[in-house]
Amino acid sequence: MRGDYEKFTDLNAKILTIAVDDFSSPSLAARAQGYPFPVLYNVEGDVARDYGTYNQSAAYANPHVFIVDKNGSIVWEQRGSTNHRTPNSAIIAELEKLS
Amino acid sequence: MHRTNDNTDIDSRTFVVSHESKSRIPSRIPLSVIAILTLLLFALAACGEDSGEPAATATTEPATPTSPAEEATPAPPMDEPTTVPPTAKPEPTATATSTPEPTDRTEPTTAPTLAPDPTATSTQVPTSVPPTEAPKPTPEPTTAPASTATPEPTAEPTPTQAPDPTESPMPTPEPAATATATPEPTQTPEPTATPTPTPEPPENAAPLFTLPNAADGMQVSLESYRGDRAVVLVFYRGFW
Repeated sequence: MRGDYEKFTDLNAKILTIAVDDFSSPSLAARAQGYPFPVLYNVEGDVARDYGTYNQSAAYANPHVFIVDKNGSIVWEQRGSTNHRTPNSAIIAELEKLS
Repeated sequence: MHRTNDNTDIDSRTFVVSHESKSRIPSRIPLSVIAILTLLLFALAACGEDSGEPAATATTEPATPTSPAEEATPAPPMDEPTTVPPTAKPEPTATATSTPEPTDRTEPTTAPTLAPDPTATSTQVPTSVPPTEAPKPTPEPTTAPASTATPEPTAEPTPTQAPDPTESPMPTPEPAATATATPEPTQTPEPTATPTPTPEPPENAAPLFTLPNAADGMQVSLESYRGDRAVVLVFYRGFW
């Protein structure tokens, strides 16, 4: 994501990452400062539940990607398992369709 | 003359002797034997109603055994059974029970054989008693003719009654199977009532949230980007 960040911005897209971990801790907060995009955290996991990505047994969010258009609607989503990683190219291709 | 007279005397003596012997013979032949003969004739007559043949054989046979004994004795039993049989079906059973009391050998053997035949043909067939009774009556001359006629009617009821119980259970299960297969009232005609064209799915509105940014602690709201740009939401930390 960091390597292709400019491509996302060129497509007028905003990247928001959401973590269930407690990024309020100094170690994780310092780590979050290294990313060019915001790292949001939700320890309770209620946002992840709203999107249906919360893994109840592992107490974290599964690696899912959603594209929300300007109207606030989910126009694309990629749901993966625990170690799934959606390639940036796929996300960029979908963003290109919106622009 | 003397000779003739003697002869006549001799004849008269012999006649007397024979007359005495006649008087003795009925005393020797017990009433039980007569009763047995009557029973045999009853049985033959009763059995003869089913087959029709034994009536003639029974009347002719008793004549042979009486020749050695004397002619006077057979007369009474001959007349009685011929008239009795039509009315006496229930009677032989009662008399048969009383006959075994006399000591003659022939009575117990023949009496039980004859009793079951006229009264209860249906019940005694399956017990398989008759095959053992056939050889018994042969040894003695008096009872032999009556007994020879008996096995014929006894053999007849067995085949007629055996198939009846076996055939009856077979047809019963068939209608049950046919009855179960019929009930199938299918109702197909009403699936086209609701085409459901109107309910347009609302746009997949993304759940709104406001979360803190780990880098600076600032609150970031999804709605703040609405109408401005698209948002890529990424869950899972390692993905970044």
